[in-house]
Amino acid sequence: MSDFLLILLILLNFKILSSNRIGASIHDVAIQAFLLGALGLFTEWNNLTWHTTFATGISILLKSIVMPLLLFRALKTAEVKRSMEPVVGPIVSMLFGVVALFASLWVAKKIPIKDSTLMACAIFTALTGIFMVVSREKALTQVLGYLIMENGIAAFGLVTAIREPVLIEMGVLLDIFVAVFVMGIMVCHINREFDHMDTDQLSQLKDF
Amino acid sequence: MNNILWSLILLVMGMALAPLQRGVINRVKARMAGRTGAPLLQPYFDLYKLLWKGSVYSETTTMIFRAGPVIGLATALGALFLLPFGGQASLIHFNGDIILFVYFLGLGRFFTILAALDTGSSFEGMGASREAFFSALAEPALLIGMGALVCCTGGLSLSQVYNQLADMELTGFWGPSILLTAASFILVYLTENSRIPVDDPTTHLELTMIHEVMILDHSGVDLALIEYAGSLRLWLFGSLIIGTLFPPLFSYTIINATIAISGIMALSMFVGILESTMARLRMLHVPRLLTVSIVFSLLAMLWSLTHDTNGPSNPLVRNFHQPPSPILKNVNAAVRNTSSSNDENIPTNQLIKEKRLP
Repeated sequence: MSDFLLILLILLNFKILSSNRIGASIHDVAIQAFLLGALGLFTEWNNLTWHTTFATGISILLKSIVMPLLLFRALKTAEVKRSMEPVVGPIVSMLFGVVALFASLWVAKKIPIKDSTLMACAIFTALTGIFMVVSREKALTQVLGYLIMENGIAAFGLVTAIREPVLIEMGVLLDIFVAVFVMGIMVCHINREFDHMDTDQLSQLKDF
Repeated sequence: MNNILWSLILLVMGMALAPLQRGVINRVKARMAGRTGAPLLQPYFDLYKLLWKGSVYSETTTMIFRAGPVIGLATALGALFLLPFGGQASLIHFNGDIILFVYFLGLGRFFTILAALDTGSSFEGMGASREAFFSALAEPALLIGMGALVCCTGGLSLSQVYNQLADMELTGFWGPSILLTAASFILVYLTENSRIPVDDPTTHLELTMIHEVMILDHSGVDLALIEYAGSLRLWLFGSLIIGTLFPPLFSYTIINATIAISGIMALSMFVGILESTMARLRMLHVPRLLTVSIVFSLLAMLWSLTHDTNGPSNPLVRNFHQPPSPILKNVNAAVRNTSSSNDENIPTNQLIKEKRLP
């Protein structure tokens, strides 16, 4: 059933791209991380070691449970309006998603690897994450885009690193931990100073 | 000869049972609201009553206003002649009749819009422009979804496509494509028949109407033709969906036809439940829903074109060894034959796979 898992992952990306709600998108990112972890376990089913299981469990715990909790707490303390406020609308974002999917499928066909659909899914997730960072104004949604990008990179690691997929997982987890930690502090400070989280207005030279 | 007889019988059955769908929808809505509701055959009584009424034509209208309902019914019947039902081919089928099918329905809609604009009333112009916008967004979804089904099955005619869908399991190789196409077709069904969440068919405020306002000025026989053509369009789009979700698996036509008819009635019940539980979307949000249906169709088509013929590397996961469809085989063979050197005939995947370290 890995076909359906892949389709579900692609559809989750489209859901995040077209959504206007921050809370639902955080849940979607958590589900995406869980599905990718499950997919990783699935592909390693024959030569499963305690090492692999433990690492996958830690990554699922961190990416699906701890990060969303931190993000929700940041949402609550900053008391922001829970809408995304994208620079490009949901329709254009979805059309970008289609173009990105096409590009990632084309690139994945060129790479000489056996399971090219999973590779396409990984590249598509990374492109979605980058698009989210670029096209959303709030600082919290940029963190979300970064998390999606790291999900995509972890999926990429699943496909390419045959021997040690968990090594890439560990690197990704370190990245995410530092990023969310730093972003959380930054978001609180920005909010405390400026009373809003709009990164567009940070370039204005006003004192209040 | 037997097949043609069955096609004719199923065509006549479609023409006879189409208004029953409206009856089922209204009955389900009434029951969910706690009322008993009108009898199931009420749309037939309404059609009969309307046929006896006279029409009043405004002085600003021309012959287009009188032609609109007639062309609407003619195109719906023309599309019905092309529709395969219950595993039987349609009465008229040829390669490429998919395009004719979609454009028949588009032609009907076009003349309904023209007739609405012909009245010169502002409400109808507004409804016509909204209708044109929404169906302009729904048509790519329908066409690309059809393209995805053609890629899956390899048939070039609607009858071939829907006949070969019986050989495909929904959990098999082409499963995701077929399910995504079905999802996209459900959204197109709701749009083209002006159902909630795109349009509220029971509203009485002209500012909020989209389809109902276009037929506001028709009366008598014209209204009967429009209502009947609307029921036929419900049947047409419903059969498209049911053909993918409940394909004709059995070898007896009567069992397949019964399954298809109960599937269409189940779809009408689903529409009734949907109308009772949801409100219409804001007009600004409807294009988003239609773009979602386009995305579903595009995803189905991209998936069926680029899906891996070798399954994933894990033997616990079912390995899908079903060969690609004839259309892709022909395309691949054509591409392979035009390449010059011998080494390029082997696809790159297999070359590299043999040299991979264990």
